[in-house]
Amino acid sequence: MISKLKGKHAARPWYSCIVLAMKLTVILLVAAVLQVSAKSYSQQLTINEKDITVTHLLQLIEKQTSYHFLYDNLQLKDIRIKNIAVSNASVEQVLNMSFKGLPLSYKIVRKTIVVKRNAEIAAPVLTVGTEPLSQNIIISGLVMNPEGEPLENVSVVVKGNAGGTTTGANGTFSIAVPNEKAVLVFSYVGYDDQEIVVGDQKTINLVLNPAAGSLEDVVVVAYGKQKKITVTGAISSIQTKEIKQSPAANLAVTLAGRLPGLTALQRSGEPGRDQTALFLRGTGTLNGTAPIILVDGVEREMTYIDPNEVENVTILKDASSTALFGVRGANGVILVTTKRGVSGKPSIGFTYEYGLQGFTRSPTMVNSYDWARLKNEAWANDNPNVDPNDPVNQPPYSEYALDRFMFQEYPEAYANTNWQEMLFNDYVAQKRYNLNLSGGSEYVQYFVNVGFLDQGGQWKIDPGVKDYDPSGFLKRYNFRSNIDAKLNKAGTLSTFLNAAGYFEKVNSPNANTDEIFRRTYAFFPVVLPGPLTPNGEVLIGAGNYNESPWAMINRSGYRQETRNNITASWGLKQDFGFLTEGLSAKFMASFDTRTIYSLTAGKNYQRWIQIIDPNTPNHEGMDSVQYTRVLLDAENTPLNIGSGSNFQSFFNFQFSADYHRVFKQKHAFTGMLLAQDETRVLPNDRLPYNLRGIAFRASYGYDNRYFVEFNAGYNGSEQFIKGKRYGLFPTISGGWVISNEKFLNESDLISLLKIRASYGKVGSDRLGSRRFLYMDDIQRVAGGGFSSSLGRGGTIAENYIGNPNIQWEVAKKANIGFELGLFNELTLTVDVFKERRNNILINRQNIPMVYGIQTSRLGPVNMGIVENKGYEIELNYRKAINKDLSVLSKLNFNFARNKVLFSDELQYPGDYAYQYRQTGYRLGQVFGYKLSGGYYSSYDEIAAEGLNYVGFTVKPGDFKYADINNDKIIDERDQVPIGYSAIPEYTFGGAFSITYKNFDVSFLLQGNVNVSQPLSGYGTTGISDFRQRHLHAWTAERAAKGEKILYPRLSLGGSVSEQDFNEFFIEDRSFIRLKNAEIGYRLPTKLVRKIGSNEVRIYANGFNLITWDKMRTKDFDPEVNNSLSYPVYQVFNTGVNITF
Amino acid sequence: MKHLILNILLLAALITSSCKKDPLDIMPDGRLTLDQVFEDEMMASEYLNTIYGNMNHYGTAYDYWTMLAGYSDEAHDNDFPQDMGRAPSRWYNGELRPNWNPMDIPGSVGSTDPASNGHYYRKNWQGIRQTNIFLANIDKTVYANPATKARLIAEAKVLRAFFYLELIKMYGGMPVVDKPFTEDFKFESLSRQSFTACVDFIKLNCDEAIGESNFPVRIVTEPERGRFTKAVAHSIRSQALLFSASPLWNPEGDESRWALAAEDAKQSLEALTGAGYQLYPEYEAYFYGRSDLSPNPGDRETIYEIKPYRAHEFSHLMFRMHAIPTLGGDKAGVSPSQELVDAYDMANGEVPILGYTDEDRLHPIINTASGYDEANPYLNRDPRFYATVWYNNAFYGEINGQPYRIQSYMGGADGISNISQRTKNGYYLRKFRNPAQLDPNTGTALFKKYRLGEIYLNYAEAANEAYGPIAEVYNAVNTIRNRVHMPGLPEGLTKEQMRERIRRERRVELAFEEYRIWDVRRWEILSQTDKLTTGMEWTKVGEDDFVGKRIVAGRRKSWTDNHLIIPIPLTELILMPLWEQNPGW
Repeated sequence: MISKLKGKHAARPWYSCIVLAMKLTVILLVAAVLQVSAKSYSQQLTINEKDITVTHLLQLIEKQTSYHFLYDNLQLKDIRIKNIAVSNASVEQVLNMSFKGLPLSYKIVRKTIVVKRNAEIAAPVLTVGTEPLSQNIIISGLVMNPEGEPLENVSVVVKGNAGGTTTGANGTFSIAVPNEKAVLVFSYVGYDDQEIVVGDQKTINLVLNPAAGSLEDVVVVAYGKQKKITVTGAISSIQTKEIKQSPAANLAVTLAGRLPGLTALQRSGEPGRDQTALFLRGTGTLNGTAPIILVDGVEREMTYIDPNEVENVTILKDASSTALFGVRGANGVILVTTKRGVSGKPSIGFTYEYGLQGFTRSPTMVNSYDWARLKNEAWANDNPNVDPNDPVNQPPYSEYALDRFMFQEYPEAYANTNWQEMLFNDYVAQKRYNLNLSGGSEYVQYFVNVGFLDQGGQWKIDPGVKDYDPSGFLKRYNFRSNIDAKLNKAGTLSTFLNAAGYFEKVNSPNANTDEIFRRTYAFFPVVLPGPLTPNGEVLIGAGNYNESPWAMINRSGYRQETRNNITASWGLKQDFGFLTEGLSAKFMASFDTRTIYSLTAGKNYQRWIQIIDPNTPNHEGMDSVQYTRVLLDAENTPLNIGSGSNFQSFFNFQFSADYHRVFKQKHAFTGMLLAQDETRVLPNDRLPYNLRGIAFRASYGYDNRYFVEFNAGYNGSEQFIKGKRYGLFPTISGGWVISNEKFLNESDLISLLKIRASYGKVGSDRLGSRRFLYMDDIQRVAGGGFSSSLGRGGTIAENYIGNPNIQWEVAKKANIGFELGLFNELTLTVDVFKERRNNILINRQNIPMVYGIQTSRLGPVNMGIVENKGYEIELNYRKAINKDLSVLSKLNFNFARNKVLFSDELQYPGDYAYQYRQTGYRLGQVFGYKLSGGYYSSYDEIAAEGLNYVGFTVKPGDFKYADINNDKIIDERDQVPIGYSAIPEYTFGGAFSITYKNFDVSFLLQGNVNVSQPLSGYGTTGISDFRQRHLHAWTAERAAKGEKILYPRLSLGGSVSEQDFNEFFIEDRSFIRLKNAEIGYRLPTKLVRKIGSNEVRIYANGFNLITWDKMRTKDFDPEVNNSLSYPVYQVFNTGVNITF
Repeated sequence: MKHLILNILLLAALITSSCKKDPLDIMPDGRLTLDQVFEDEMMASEYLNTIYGNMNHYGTAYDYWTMLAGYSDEAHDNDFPQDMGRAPSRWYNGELRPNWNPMDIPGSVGSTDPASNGHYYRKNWQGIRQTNIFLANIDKTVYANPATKARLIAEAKVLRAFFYLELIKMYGGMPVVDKPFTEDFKFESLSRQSFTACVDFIKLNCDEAIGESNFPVRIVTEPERGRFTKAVAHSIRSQALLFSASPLWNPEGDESRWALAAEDAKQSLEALTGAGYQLYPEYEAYFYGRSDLSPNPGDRETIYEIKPYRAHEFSHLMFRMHAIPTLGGDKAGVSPSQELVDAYDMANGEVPILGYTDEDRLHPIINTASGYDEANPYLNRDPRFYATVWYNNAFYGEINGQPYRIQSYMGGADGISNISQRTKNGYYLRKFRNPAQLDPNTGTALFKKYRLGEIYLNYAEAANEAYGPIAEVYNAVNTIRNRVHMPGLPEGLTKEQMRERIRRERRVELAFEEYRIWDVRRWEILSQTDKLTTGMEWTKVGEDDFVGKRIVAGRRKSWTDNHLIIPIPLTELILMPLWEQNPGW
């Protein structure tokens, strides 16, 4: 065969190359203007060679720059260059000089330079879309990457012919082929080539798959970008396409299951107030575990960012990738990079989405008859052997009342009210509009995005509320404008401005959300009649039922938060190639502000109760129903407006110098030095948080095979005493790309094989909310003291005694990674890590009370030690099976388990079944009572066992607790670790997508395992309210009949069984869920062209669609914090995306 | 262009380097050091004010607003057995452990409700630490008026004595710590000291305060209400010395401790009566009000009252939490036990019940000579009985214009029932709550922590043990009895007989005032008194005609000898290798 084409081009006959060359010549002229933009990639070359082959020269250039050449070996093999001696020259200069007088020409397309031998005779001019006479079939189509994004500048050539074209900015192409047997070859830098037989097709759409382990892939790293092959740390990232498959309103939520090593737990779903807890590699400290989040290099909020403006999200997991963050890097880093414009024709994209959102789960209800019966059952359990004639002790509901509930003949008094149905909408709309524009000229590029999100809330508002709006909603307007500009012709000086912001309104009733749920789910039973008295006053119940959730929603007024956020960064970059080759510098100043204005319009209302007296019938012979006003202080009041606001500001200044140079084509050096200064003013905290530091990176790579990198952060924070504020956090890492060794270089099977390792230390200064722990905190409290005659009646609050030795936490982290690529289709990445967190700041527990000060008031001490170990496995498979069908799957499986090694915990004596509650266990390990199986069936059995349940009287139907320490006493000494903690140990995600012709389908399965957490009693125990499972509670009758028993005996006041912390109530929160699914269809190009559009895609997707879990009760979502959390959403969404 | 850029970068570099001041040098404002506190007269006084905050509220601020009386044989707490989660129920159930003290519910569950009692061990040590800090630093504070400083020092010393006494009453001897611990103190080297050593330290502190001429004997202005005085020092010293002479704390039977207690109590009585202290003439009404603070007060008996921590807190809670069911309220709270009822003399001075023939105390040994009638047991008793106990058919007063009698008979509106609003033994508490008060918010009563009456009884007990039933012993006891117009004790009692009479006197005079629980311990009679309490079940057989039957109201597991001294909290003992846990734990 003829030769090897760089870029893995297939060989083609010699004659066709001439045609290709002719066409390229012409294209070269057309595209000449592009060269200018290509200068942004210019790197300075120094070459001094004599009499070398052209190919050798091109290899030399390749080694020194990030350019790659596309050429036919055979075509060029006999051309030699006599003499080339340049220093600090640009690629163009080198090529122009060396090609002078030779039959060679070149063309620069992005980072690829096509070099060809000039033809003897000029060929007819060909431009995109025109058809040469000799060829008669026109094929058009679209080329995309697996994410569905159009690929620009893909080379499309007819196999065996010299003719060819490239795709346009929107990925479309049009080419003439000689006949049906022609084969089209699609090639693009960093992607695998694809050949397609034309056949009878007129339109060819295809997906190019990135070449595994390509030398060209660039990944985002701390304060910069790096070629993926050179990365020695543990980094994962996802692109915008995947993020956009989720219709969730919160960007953080969309990350769940997508990134190996990232755990995202959605704790509640309230619009605008939802909480997502993010953990990188689980948790490793007793203090703050939140990773730091940087948006375009600056610490910022992530949740509010419009997914449409995100280019990618990258997580930095190991010490080497986070070392630059020094004293703050220990919990890992999340980098969000927003999109930027590219030169070319403006591209306009418009998206509209309409979705319906509802709760994933709602508690099951029982009807009022069952409810009253269960109340009686619980009462009977609490009051065995009561004389039925006792005037005082009677069951809560008489037979008469039960009949009324059953027949529902008199609902005014004996009601059956489904409060959930009355208060919550099943589904409400969520709408999203987005417009983005990008493009630019040679000198200026822009990306502009504007969006609007309109998320409804679940509260059902009474139509009678007319003068104000208490409904729950979130309306968010956001914009971003990222502008890049070159300030000189050479492109060595450039500037950028990123400005973004959002303005949002969050509205809700003026009531505590938890309280509304507590009332609805636990303390407002079905037996209470409707929300209002006949006179339209708010009806409440007696005792615990003394607040109406209906009135909380409809009669309490509203509160609205208006949040304004502006983030802006301005930067300047200068290439200092004229000083020394490869040197550049940048500085960036960022200024962010956020203002929250909260408006509270509250009102009060009268509360009435209903009194039913079966003994005094009304004129219809029914029980008399009366209404009495209670809580006489509460009046119907008009809205009473109050407001407050808080302000947050942030200033960051960064200066960095970069160095990147390759010597002798093999020795690649990079260096970076970054200095920054930062001030953050947080609301409700009078003094600013300041940070300053420098970060340093140096790396050396040999021949793309061996890499070694050194990263260090040297920074400090004001949390520590002067002289102990700054710390150095160094890491070292290295990698070996075995697949670039000679013995594997030619392998078809193994396309990538790489081993990397890192070790180093990073810190954490997130020491809880208290500040200046190195100082005593003693304050004068004015007034309110014991005696007004001492001092001025004030007291001295010894809030805490400072610890001048306080320091940051130190995490020592080791990571070993292994990357394998097979057939360019399958990549496997395995990372194994181990972390030891020392110096964790804890409150000493081993200080006796004799000291006379609570240990919580002693300055905490850097004593805690936690170890965290685990692994991540990522398996990606992508394949274009044929021109119509391609598949992509990305699986990740992660494990992180921590262990508290030291927490200065008191060791309990030997009669405790477990002498520690923390030490030796995972952080947040739940302890509780183990059940020894079944329920007590009789008092005899209880007596025979003879256990003393401290604090409780045990009755038949109670759980049997295991007397672990065999002392016949059930108390805290018998508590054992049960289950795990609230943060899962195993997490996994599986994303699959299939593209078939114009259709695409994708879905994401996500799961957590080894996670447990109690739900809190409200709405789960029979003490507060009854659910379906309480119909199967233990009673002697049910037990005797052998019915299934799902619950211990019911009790009105709570029994020993209905405690949160036993094996029954500590729920296993493991689950697998269909997190996202999406189906899309791209309208045929012909149709789309008619409206002047490039592409129209319609799609439908969903969020939290199906959940499989192991919870004992299916009343609550496994991810929520507790039963009172605003439930997590499920969304069904449709959308259309049009690009011009 | 290049120059422009260089200039910009240079400027940037200058801006950063020109910030000579490290931006991390934030001076947190509003923070003080202890040294600064004691540089200022006002702040030093505020520090003393802070020390008072470590005092518990006593009275009715035990778990769910109950009283300490229910933890001894003077009352039954009606939460038992209905609510086994409440502190008294858990006490009866024998749940006291080193890791779990039912009396200290907030301490056990970590609650920090400042209004309820608890954290006894921790709060007293906190008080001791703060008084030590105050006394160690006050020297350098310059007061414009040196007399003020002298008074504050005396006050701090009495506070230190107070915290020590409250601590050792429960937990026994503790290390005597008279200066603040240094940060590097090795607690593992600290050992316990004897109860006597602690009492000697208490005496030392009190003696020094009593000797301070600038320390007032009585508070006479409202803003100073609640502050310690010389009279408080006398009370603390008297109680501490009495305790340290008692069998539990004086196992060697060192007679000199009794003599010391008697001498100091005598001295205290002289000092206090010399300063105008005297018994309040009306026993019943005495507990309905609060002391009036004036140089010439109506109430000359009260030495120390717990300052109200919310408006009308004590009387309010007495109304709601120790309620008569027909008058509403949250629960019946503590009901006087039959044993207490039996302890009241007949009005003629005779003892009605001499003992019981059975373990369950259902069969009393009646002193027929006394005139006691088991069918009409409430007739002709010591007036203090009527001031303390509501019994069946007792005339309450007028409610809504109608005369009302207590209906604690079976099936009556106030009858025995197993709901927590009702008595379990047929009685309700009367002391501290004026029957004329029908609104919880109107009472002004405060809980009396120290009063002159106690010191008479302290003296009588100590002197009898030290010198036998001398005339002064008679005088002291009869002073107490005379106030309620009870006849004096019969002449010619032996020392043992006198001991019994003094103990009875103490029991009825100081009922529900948090003495009995400690007295049965220091006398080491817990195993005789605390196995159970009884009550009286009345059945109505006709108008104003009832038949009574003695019943067991509640059996307890909290009577064994290990309950004499409360175990030291487990978490503390783990950290104190040299300490021995109290006996039996």
